[in-house]
Amino acid sequence: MKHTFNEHILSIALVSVVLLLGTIVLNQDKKQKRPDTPAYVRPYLSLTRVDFSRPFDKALFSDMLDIYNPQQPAQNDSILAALQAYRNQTMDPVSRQALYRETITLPKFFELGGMYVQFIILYVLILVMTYYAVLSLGAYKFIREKQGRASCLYQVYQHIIRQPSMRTAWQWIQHHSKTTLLLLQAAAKGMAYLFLFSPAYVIAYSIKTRIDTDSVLFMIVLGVLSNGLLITYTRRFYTFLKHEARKGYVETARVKGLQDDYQQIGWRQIVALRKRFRGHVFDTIYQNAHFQYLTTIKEQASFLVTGLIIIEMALNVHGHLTYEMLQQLLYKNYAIVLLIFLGIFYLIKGTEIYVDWLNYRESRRYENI
Amino acid sequence: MKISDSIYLRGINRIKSFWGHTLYPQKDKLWLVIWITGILLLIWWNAIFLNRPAFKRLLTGFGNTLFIASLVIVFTLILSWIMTWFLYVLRHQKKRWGFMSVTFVLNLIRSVPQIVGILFAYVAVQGMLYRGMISSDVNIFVLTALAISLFIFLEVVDLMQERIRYFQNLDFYNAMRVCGFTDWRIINFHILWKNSRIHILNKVISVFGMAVFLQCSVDFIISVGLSTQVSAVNLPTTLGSLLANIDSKQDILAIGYSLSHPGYISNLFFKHLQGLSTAFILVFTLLSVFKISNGFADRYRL
Repeated sequence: MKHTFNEHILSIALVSVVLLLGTIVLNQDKKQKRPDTPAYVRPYLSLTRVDFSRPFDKALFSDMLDIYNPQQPAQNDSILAALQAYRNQTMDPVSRQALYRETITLPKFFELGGMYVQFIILYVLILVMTYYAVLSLGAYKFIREKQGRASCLYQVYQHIIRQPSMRTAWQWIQHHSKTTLLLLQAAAKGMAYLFLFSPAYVIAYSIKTRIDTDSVLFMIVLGVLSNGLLITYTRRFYTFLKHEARKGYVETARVKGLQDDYQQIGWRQIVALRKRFRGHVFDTIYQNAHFQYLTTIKEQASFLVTGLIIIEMALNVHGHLTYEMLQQLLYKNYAIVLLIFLGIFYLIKGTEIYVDWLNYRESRRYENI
Repeated sequence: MKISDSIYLRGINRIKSFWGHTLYPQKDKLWLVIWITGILLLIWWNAIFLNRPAFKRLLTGFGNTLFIASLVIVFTLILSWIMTWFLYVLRHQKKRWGFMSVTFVLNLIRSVPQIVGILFAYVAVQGMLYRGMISSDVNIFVLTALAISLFIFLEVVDLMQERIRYFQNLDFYNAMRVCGFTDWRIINFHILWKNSRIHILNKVISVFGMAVFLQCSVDFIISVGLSTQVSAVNLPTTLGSLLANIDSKQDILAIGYSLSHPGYISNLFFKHLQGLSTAFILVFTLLSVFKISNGFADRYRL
């Protein structure tokens, strides 16, 4: 454990030094260039629908200002002039690039800090929910298989090849309605699979007109269900369960009298937060597979961050950490990008250290140290 | 005539003899057939109902995505084999510091979220393209594939190292050394090729799915992001960039509309083909690769 911990500390220190140095150097390089825009003009910059190159839009905007500020015609004119100057400035590619240049100032740092805290909360919530869902679904899949319940598609296949005698129309209807029902069930399962495998942006754009896709709740749901995260790691846990079930100790436990009837396991035990199957051979299988799964959490965490980044970036969710990173990357504000990257690196390293510690604790328990 | 003698049941019997006895138990092959059939059906449908330019873009995007994913597999295998051999040599020659340094660097790469690493690499490729350092599509494909492989290959390295460690603990390894086989032959031929190629092939199938997913996601993000205020440099069309296209986005938004207006559903299959076909190919490919990989693992009890 000491060796692993030292390695983590060393990598954190090394990456911190390199990235912070890079941030400081790039931050120095970028100070100076942002053109000044008067404070009273800034609220109007977000009016993207107004095209100041069109006289009609310009006249309309001028009329609107006169209605809202009827006592200040001079200020209205100066706003219009400043907006025109701003537009001229943004037409020039060099000035346009400079327009988006930003440096790390104290307010910016705090703004990023707020986004970072929000990102961490989202990450932890999704990680915990995925972890619970993976264990529950993996156990459910394994138990269901042990109970001898075939997959939907296989049931359809079995039903079709059975070919019962259908002498009356009623029997024919019964047979075909059951086939149709099973096919519909299989189709629903297929749709669910397609949903779980869809990248977040496909799902989000599919239902963007119906749901507020910028909400945090939607992001959490998407984080858990999309990008194939849940299904991939459920399969991984299920594989661990299957490997454990093949081991010799399972037979020994059975011979020694532990219960092995999977029909006895109820859904309450499967969905429980702390899953115990006392007196059943599956309890040992589950505990051992769970121990093996612990190291996989590191991989899952890294993939989760990837998924979260995809969600935030692809949905253009303003005010979120990784969307900010993408924007700053495109505006070539590399100092801010490096700082955000450092934050994400710390998060993953933190998870790795925690998982290694958990693993160490569990292995001590297993080895009776 | 009895109902059981109908054409329907005769058809079922044919499927039964084909599927029931050969294909169904081998789910990897079954899903490979399902994937290819599904894609061919979709292409056939698009060839009839989608306009020519969009159809051409769809085929190009799909072809490019498959090509890049295949290149990723090649690079991943090369990189992981070199790294595994290098680590083995360092460990075997007891160069502790060298081994620890390489492991340290690998763990560092592991801690970088794949998407961030690939995004940085894509930006670098765009920079090179902008400065005219690369021009042809093939070069762009090679560089992007290399970038993706750099953040994926560690999974294969882990697997290869695990396999070598497993066999080193068996008598087999010492017996071969006593018989005078070189380390090169034992590791590369007897362990990795003869006894681990099924495991590696299974991992390669997953890598293929991962490569498609990451590449499309980064392409989508880059295309969406760059289309806002910063001028874009055009990368070759892939499924990801095709999905970020404004027409495709409108097509996908139509799904949401048809949820509240069920009468509109039939239009999805004729009027919104570009976006829906792109999304379907992507999702269906990811699902099929997952199923093929699982079926393969089940068949060989991996």
